[in-house]
Amino acid sequence: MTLVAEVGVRLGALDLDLALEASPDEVVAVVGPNGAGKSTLLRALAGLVRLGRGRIVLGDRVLADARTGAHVAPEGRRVAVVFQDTLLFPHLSALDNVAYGLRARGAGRADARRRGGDWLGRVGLAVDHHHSRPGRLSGGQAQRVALARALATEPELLLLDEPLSAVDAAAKGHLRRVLRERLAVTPGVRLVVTHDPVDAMTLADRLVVVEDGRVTQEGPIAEVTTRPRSAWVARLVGLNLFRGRGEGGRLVLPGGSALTVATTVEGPAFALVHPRAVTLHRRPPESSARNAWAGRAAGLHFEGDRARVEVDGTPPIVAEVTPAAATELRLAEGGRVWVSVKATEIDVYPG
Amino acid sequence: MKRTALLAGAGMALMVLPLAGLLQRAPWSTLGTELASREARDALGLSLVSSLGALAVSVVLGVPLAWILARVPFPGRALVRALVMLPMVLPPVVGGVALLSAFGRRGLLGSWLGSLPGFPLPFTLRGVVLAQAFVAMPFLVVATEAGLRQLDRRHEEAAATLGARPWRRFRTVTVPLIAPSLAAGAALCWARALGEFGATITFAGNLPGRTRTLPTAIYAGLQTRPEGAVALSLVLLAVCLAVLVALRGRWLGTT
Repeated sequence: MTLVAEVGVRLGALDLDLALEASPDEVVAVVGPNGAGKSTLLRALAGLVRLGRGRIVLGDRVLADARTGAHVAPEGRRVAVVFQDTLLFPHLSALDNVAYGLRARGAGRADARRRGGDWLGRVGLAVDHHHSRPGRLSGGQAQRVALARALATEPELLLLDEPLSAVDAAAKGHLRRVLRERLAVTPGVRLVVTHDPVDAMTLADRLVVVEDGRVTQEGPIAEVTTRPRSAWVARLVGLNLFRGRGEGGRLVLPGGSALTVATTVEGPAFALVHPRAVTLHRRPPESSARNAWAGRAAGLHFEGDRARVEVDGTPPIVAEVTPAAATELRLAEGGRVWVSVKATEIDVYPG
Repeated sequence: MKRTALLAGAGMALMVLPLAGLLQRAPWSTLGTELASREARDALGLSLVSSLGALAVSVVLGVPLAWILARVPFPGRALVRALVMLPMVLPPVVGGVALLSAFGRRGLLGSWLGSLPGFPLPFTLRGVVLAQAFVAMPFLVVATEAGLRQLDRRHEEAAATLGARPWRRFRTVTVPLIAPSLAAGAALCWARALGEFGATITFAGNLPGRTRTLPTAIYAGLQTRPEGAVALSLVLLAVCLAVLVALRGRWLGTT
């Protein structure tokens, strides 16, 4: 029961065109910036949007094929969706929301309610809330009901759209744990759409990065986060990524500047620099670092016991220093700074 | 400012004075016997049956119409909507003449419908229902269409992903979510049907016990037994006030 999808949808300014495969042995997270087409991808898989191009095959069943015009209606697919803002039916109790899909698929009222109650128990909704309308539930409780409602139909493909975004920070950790547990024991293909890296990394085994309607990178989480291939992913994991052309021991960047690197690389390549490997100076450095350039300290953020400094220069870069160093260098005042990076601290890989 | 207040006061007097006159002339002491008379009971019964019939016709035909107008884009939709709303502004007597021209014995459709069971329509109770539905259905269509347009359709999509087919989605999600609009539309539609006079008397006549509804009975009674007519008028006034009170949250606001 593998999902093999080629999804081409044009919708307003969005031009979605990507291929996606997911097997039941893994939880796949589709990540990317807002407006990248993640939700439209999910709607196309659920049958709520027709394909302009491509086809969707789940197991041995063709759910949609733009070439033949085939399109199985949402109610004919065994695809369940946990919607971003839950979309619980406001006129039904939590229990009847969960029983809804069972009733629609032919279960009797009493049977559907009994099984609905079991599902609410599995997602950890206290019994006193089973008969509450969604309007009386907290964000976290409502999201549990939405999860139970989707799971109760025992879908072949489970789609979760930003399942934690509508939940306040206090409830998030707990709900994330519930989601993780339920996803682990749910058979079928599981796809989580999120823009939150923490959600993606805690819930999924594999990442698919979607930017501007295209897949820019996919692979196991460790691989994507240690070898990002797009600026968005690099920012997501807090790293500096440069894309340029390798020329021997140098990486020539689009702005005309170049980085000296320790490994030889030819052709299109990425250079990854951890912010901790970036050293800042108030005067031109006299160190052995092969890469040094001037810039302007543009932004300073404290994160725990570290300070992140955005340096506007050619190229721009983010440096991470200790708060003590930030004070000593008077970075809060902004102004001119020098950046140095050792060639051996730059990770280079083909682009 | 003073002149504005004066004009506003006159405007209110124009609305309120006739009602005061009606209440002042009401035969309070004999109200019970007036309303228990044969003619009054016949008219009340006929009005109840015909107005509920018109409401039923309006729901069965008007809700699908509202659905099409709200959901299905097609060329000429604005024109169709205008035609559907026309009876709201058309003089009812013109509506009655139009109904006769269509469904009368020698009308557009009436000439070949006439031989079918349940026809002809003019001067029958079914004709009363048709005339009332013609005038009152737009109220239901307009309110229902507005409700459908305001509805967050993603709830219907969620129902679809849970396996609900279109009819189940409509019954279990759409209708409950537009229930307030539907109820308001139905109340207005029913009240309008109950008060329908012009189209009814033109198309269905004023036959006691057969097509004489409350408004036509009031009109006929005013010439023969005014106190009976006033008593029936009070009934209609009370019903209209009740409908208005039921809808108060929707239209009158809370202040």
